[in-house]
Amino acid sequence: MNTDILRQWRYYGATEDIRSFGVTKDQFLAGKIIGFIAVADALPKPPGHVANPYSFPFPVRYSLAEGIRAGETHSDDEVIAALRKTAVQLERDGVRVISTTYGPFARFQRDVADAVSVPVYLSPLIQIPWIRVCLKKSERIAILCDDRLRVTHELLEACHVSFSDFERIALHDVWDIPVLAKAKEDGNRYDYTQVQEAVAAHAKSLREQNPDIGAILFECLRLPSFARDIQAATNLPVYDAVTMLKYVAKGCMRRQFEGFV
Amino acid sequence: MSITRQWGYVGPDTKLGEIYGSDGSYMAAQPLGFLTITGSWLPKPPGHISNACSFDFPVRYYCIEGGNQATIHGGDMRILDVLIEAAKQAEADGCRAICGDCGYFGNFQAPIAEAVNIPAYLSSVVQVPWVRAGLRSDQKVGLICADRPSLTVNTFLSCGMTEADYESCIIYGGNEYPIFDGLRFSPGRYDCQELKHEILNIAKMMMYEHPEVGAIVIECTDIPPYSHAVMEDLNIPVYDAITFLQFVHDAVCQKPYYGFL
Repeated sequence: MNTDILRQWRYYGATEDIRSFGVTKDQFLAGKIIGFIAVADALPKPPGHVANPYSFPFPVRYSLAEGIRAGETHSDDEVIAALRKTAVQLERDGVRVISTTYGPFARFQRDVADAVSVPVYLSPLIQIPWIRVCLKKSERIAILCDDRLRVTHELLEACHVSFSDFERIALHDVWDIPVLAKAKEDGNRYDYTQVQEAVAAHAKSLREQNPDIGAILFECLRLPSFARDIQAATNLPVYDAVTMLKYVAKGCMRRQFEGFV
Repeated sequence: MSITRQWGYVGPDTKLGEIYGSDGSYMAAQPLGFLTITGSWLPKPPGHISNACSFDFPVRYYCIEGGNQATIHGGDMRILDVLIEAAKQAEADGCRAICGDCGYFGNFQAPIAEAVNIPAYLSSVVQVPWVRAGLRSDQKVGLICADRPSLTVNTFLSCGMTEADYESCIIYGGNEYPIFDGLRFSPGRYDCQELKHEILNIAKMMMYEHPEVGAIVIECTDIPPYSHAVMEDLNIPVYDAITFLQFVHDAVCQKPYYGFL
């Protein structure tokens, strides 16, 4: 555990003189709220993607998981070691929350959480119980996935989703949508407006075919860019990596309230 | 009366097509509807859930006849019909989620969620497992509430949580602190600095007796004005009704993202 880390989470307001304060040894930057463990890929990252810093109203930092490449085979031990090393460094960099820009790392939620003293949230799936609580018993959560087959019981348990919640979710792949399937084939490009229209139409028909859907959750980290389109097409609550991380970060950046009485 | 949902966002890039109103509606776009305690006389500084300046979006408050601290804290089911009626009115008025202005509204979480078609998030206490998910396995959530004896395992069960969730947190109440406890008796006024000191004492005592506490959740809606002070003092995440409802707002009011590629 990083016992020599000096935490100073208080907010400094405009009218305040900052007094002398210390800093963690070798900390070479400050003010970053979320630290993302990243891997390199060639796909576009428009605003709304967690790998685009314009998706958040506060500063974030990206650090590569050393030696791990998307699409290559690595042993679990190798991945866990790389994730822990990156997480520990991000904590030393002063970030207050650790997450990832790479969906498949979600399996290692608990391995990473146990390596650092700041909160760790590696998958939007962690929100399943947060969503279930507000719904009727007869309603289900439609989950739009990067890869439906990756959402196993093992992954859900790693994400603190209890067995009784498994039956409250319905998994749907987004890559089945023709425009997106083509984007996957093309590797590093897609037509933004076409994807926007396609995912909205897809969500709309999902809702029409499944009237028991009470909320939508994106497991896929590319979809938050289109959340407003999917919400406008379905009129349903939409949860994604950005709603989760903004919430988590808020608890770590408390400021005094201002206003009228 | 038929309710027509239009959850799309209108921004500078929007070309609005056909829009319509709900039958009987006389206002628009107040995303959160609050059920409020009426039989109590307490100041509501910025940061209190019933002070509209605590949010950066519009909210609407609903007055609950008979919704006093005794019936809400005790989960008196005789007022359930009145609560449901108000929740339905909020839905008809176009609110996108139903919330409570006291953590003990959680006693009514399940029946209200069943009664409306929009999300019901009635108590800040439901955040316990959300916050727990990000911590190390040897850490616990510290829960600070107003009335310790009223916060039972049954409150957790009503909020869709489990006995394990109840066991997983350390709970401290304000019962032995004169200002905090005095809020129950409708004093009409109190000294904010004194209340802040009491809250800091509770939080420090909790950390001293339970160093395994990794994050704090605050039940009481009178306390968020001092959440920042608790975070500054302990340097750990602090969640309360405001962080909770900001999250709910983000899910029901998805906005477009702007920025660079």
